[in-house]
Amino acid sequence: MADGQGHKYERNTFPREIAPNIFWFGNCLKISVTAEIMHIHLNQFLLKGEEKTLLIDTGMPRHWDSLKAQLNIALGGRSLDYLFPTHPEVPHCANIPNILDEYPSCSLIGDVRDYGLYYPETRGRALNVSIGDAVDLGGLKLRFVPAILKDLPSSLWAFEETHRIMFVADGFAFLHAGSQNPMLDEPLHRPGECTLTSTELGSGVNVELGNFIIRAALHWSRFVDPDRLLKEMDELIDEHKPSIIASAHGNIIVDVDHVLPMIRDMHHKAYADAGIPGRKPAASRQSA
Amino acid sequence: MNARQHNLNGTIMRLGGSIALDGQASWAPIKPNLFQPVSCYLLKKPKAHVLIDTGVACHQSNIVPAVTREIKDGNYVIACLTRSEPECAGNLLAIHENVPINELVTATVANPFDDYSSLVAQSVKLTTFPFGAPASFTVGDPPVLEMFLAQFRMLLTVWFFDAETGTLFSSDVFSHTDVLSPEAPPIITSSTLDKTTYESAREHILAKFWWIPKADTAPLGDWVRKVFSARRIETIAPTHGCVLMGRDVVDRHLNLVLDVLEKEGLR
Repeated sequence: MADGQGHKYERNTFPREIAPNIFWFGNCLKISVTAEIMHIHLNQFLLKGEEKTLLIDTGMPRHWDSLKAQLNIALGGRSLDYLFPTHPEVPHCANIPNILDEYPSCSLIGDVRDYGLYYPETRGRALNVSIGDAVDLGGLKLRFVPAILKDLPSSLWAFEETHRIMFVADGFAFLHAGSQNPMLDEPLHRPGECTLTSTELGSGVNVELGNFIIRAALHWSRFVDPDRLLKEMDELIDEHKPSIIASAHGNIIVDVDHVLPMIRDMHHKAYADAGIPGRKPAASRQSA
Repeated sequence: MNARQHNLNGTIMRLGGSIALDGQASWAPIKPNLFQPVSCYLLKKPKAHVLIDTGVACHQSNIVPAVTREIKDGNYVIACLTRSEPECAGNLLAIHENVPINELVTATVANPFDDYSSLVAQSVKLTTFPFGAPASFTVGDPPVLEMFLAQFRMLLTVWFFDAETGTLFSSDVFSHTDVLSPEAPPIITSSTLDKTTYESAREHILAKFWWIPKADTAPLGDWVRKVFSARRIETIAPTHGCVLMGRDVVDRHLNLVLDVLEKEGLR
């Protein structure tokens, strides 16, 4: 696909256009695992509406130059109007100062608690939203929905209604192949797979490794009853029926019905394999 | 004694400020007209000065001058982060610009999302929690602190323990207290004057650890008990909330945390 500037958005380069005017940016972290270099997804997404533009998540400061270059390509001379950091954890918010400096009319949007404490210069440039609120970008509409699989309490997910894309931050970390090295605790994929969707990846979903990732990155998953959690996730999915799920730390999921059961399995295994002696089965527990 | 700087016991200085509990912090409940201290700590050891966390950036004008005053040229400076998040690392670079940090101690390189590349590029020694090592290990040479991975946590978190003073640096746990004014002393030394209740502690703990009502919390309670039974803890110094000093106060707040875990989790 090409834009009016002559840029082509290919499946093997970032930015990749995953739906009309919705762009996938990536800056993978690279680490050595045995003899192989592995990559860790760190995704951002740009929504380029007819009237307004919005960036989801910021990546790390070390990736600012790359992110800026991808923004320049995808924005095609337009400015950035909104920045939506899904939550105030370093990989999702640490470029806020760089982005707000680059785009002086850009406002933070989302659950903007904490940012005034962490980045005092953002005070006066932040729009707080509640679950259910939406921002109309012109031809694209992003609705803020509860984050079910999350770490920090102010995490938000969002659903783009025109193309039915659910942006899920730390949820649905999706990996195909990777390392069993216990030194690593984040989603992995092989070099060359950075820009592929779930159906373009050659290998199948590795549930065992996914389970390991969930237990390591979402530490609470060892203790939280997966049935209660996944019921909330199913309700959200049933309500919105996304055609694409876009995670910050995984390949883009385009075969949602195929992948969802695997995500469920991963959370069940994370709880069951937590090594807690004498634990009762999840279903037998009662709320306090 | 004020909300910005407080000498705890001669060798540990509490630094920071306070924030209104008006909804600006996601880790705390909204409590109109109440405030919460947000803290970092400076330990003066014979061979090193040790920072535990660096405070939030909005308190930079309190913290950086105080650290600069207290640390003289030539001191070996170790910065220990309980979490690699803006809540704990918010003034790391600003401090380093004024007082060169020699060593940075943090949870692990196994979480490659932590970004210390700019510090490491300046020859700051990076010490991380060694995977496969015993449950805890010591920081400094000669050792100045014990460091151990927190099991009761959200993001990757380490707790530090100073055996010399019996002080536990517990990051975002034991952070369930607040104060009546921004100038109020950020420290509780007497159980009889302590206004914390089960309900107020519960509100704070569940604001941060949102998953507790869905969780099997017994293993977490067991872990917290083990931490306290294995150490002589006289003071708890959290990243936010009051410093809790004295055995009576420590025992009271230990029981509050254990009660919340037991009563609010799944049974």
